[in-house]
This record gives sequence, structure tokens and C-alpha cells, in this order.
Amino acid sequence: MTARTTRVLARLTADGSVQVELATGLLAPRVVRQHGTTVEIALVATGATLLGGDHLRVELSAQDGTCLVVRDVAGTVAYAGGGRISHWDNEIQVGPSARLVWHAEPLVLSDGAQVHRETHADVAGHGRLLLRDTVVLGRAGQAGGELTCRTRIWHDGRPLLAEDLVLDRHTRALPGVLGARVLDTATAAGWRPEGPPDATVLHLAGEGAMARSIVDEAHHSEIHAVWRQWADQQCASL
Amino acid sequence: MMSGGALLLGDARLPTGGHTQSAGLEPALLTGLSPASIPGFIVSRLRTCVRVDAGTAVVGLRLLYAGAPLDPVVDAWCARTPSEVVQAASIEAGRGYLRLHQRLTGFATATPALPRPLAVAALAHSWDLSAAELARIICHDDVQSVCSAALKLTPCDPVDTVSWAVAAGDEADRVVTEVQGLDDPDDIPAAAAPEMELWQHAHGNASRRLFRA
Repeated sequence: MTARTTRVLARLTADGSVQVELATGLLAPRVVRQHGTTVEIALVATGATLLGGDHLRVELSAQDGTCLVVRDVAGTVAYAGGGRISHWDNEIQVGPSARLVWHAEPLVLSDGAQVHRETHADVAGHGRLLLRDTVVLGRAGQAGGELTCRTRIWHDGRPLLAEDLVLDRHTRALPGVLGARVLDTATAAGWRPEGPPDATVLHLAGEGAMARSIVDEAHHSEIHAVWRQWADQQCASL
Repeated sequence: MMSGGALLLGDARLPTGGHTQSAGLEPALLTGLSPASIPGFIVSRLRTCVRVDAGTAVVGLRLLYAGAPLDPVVDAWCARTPSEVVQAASIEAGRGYLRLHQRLTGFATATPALPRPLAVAALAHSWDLSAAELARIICHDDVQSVCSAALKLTPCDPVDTVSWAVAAGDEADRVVTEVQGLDDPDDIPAAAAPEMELWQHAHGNASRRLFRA
């Protein structure tokens, strides 16, 4: 099964503007606006996805001094795959003094869906990455499918965050693994922002922070407020 | 045959401050974990943070036997331990082992503070333990920390806690098998239990607690 790769690469040109390279996969990147060194991209689904057997791959790269803002147009529902696993890989590069903010919308696991997701990010010194990740187990009235998430974030050549989440039905029923159906996370790499006073923000040992909320209804998540505050600190020119 | 050093490291009477640790049980009970769920809680930990710690200890032991610096494995452990509260509690627990080690052998690390699995690995190195023995000790200590803390936190029959430890034996065996051959920090398991991490993170601000972590 070959991956259908969505690619967004932002680089500075000699005259100081940003040049964007785009490639369409299961998601199509569209330039929403561009101002100075900042470019905002929307990711639009090109068809029904995520289906069993799909291999969705997203490559995002903000090179030296650019600011890349990525928005999902809508959340993604992973449908029952009839025993076929769906793969979703994210490969993210943030160059020196570059910024990358991904306003990701929720990934919803329907009953019968099986998704393996891998996110790998490399953030150079003085680069900053901000990621939103909302996982919802089950559509309304469902217990939800099975998800494994492997996340590796490197900053300045050192590991910043390494996390494997195994959220199959058996494992997530164990005490202390999840305890609710929505896991909402904001991760900052390359700087360590503070959150609003009542939010739970973990200070990573390296330059980074992770805010997390586990709730039964996504709109109750503390991360909405954290996200607004953290995202506002990036790419101020937009 | 278990070595004498392995038995010492597996014994809560070793003066390293083990009585201050509940292996996450006190934060869990304060947040609402039902005492009936403690056996499952032990398995959750073996699947997640104990795998991380056991893998960290084994890779650390290999680096020590090779005379290599521990920094890459410290970084790997930190990346797998996102809460600064959990990190600090482990480093504080590690200090007890480093202090004992220093008094016994004059041991001093280039790094002034080591998380608990690496501080245990350093003693294991001095006492010539194998990777499998060390991984077994990390599992055993975590399970027994939960069991003995349960006796203080929620009244129960001590025999029940032994039955929990026995029942967790297969899962502990799997951890030992999985991590004993590791030698690369990148290969250390990174399995996470997000809810438990948030419970332990909140323990930093808990006003009424018996245990440090």
C-alpha cells in the first residue's frame, strides 16, 4: 500500500517573501492567505477518508525564518475498516527561527475503525512548533475503534517528547490509561509557554510544554483556552 | 541464582527512602481510583511507565558497562516522562540510591542527579547485576510499592496485596523479556498512560498526602 502524500513546504526567497511548494494526497493543501514571511494553508479532504486501508501521509516543512500556519477545514472521521488498518503519518520539519502551527481538528474513531498514526517532528534550534491533537473515541453513542499513536518530537538534535499511546479497547479499559473518550493535547516544542491558571501544563525537560485534558465531551476541554493563548503568541503578523 | 546485590536492591529495607513512594497509588486514590481497581492499576503501570523505567535502567546499565556517558539515556527517559512533577519525584527517589552508592563506594556521577531507574542501574553496575536482574528489580519494586502503599491508604488484608503481586507476575515477565536486550536509548519503550500522568502531576500540589509520589 503506497501512501498518498500531502506536502507543504515553505521557504524564504532572496527577496524575503515566502515561496510555497504544495502536493496533493488524500488531503489537498490550499493557500488561504500570505503576508510577509507568514503563509496560511488549509488542508481539504479530496474524498471520503479515513477508510480502512487508507495510508494518509502529511509532510509539513517550515524552512529557515518562515511561519507556516496549517488549518484543517474539518475534523476527520475514521470509518469502520472491515478489519483493514488505516495509517496516518505526519512528518514535520521546522527550520532555524521558523514557526509552524497546526490547528488540527479532531480525529474521530468510529466503531470498527483501526488507525495507526505516527507523528515525527524535527525542530531546529530557535524554531518553534505548536501542535493540536484531539482524539475522540467513538461517534455519538459509540465506544469507538482502536487507535495507536506514536509520537516522536526532536528539538535541536535531542529527543523532546516520545510517546506511544495504545488505545485498543482492552488497554484503555485499564485504570489510569484514559478514563474518558476525548484526549485533547496541545504540544509546544522549541519554547515553553505558560497556560491559563486552571489548565494542566506539563513542563517537558527540554524546551517544550504539553497541555492535556481528558474529558467526555470535546467542548469541555481546557485545551481550547490554552490553544488560543499559545497560538496567539506565534506568527503575530497574521 | 539471584545475586546478593539483586536481592538487596529488591528489598524495601534497603535504606534508600522507598517508604516515601506509593508508585502513583496515592495520587490515583485521591483522584477517585476505586480500591477494587488496584490490581488493574498495577498492570497498567507495568504496561506503561514501568516498561519505560525498566528499559531506561537496562540501557543505562549497558552504557555503564561500556564506560559511556549516561546523557543520551537521561534525555530518552525525560522525553518519555513529560510531567516535571513526575520527573522531580523520580530524581528525588534516585537521590536515595546515589547517596547509598556514594557512601559504599565513593561513586560519583558526572550528572549530579539521576532519575530513579538510572540511579538503581548505577548500583546494579557496581554489584555486577545482569540486565534481566535489573529489569526484574524495577518491576518488582513498582508492584511492591503499590502493594505496601495500599495497606496504608486503603484498609485491606495484607494477603490480598500479595495475591495482586502474584497475579501481575506474567505481565512483569513480559516486561523483563521485552527490555532485557535493549542497548539503544531510542528503543526504550515509550508506552504512556495519560490519565495516570495527570493524576501524578496533580500530586505536586496535593495538600494532604502520605507519599511523595
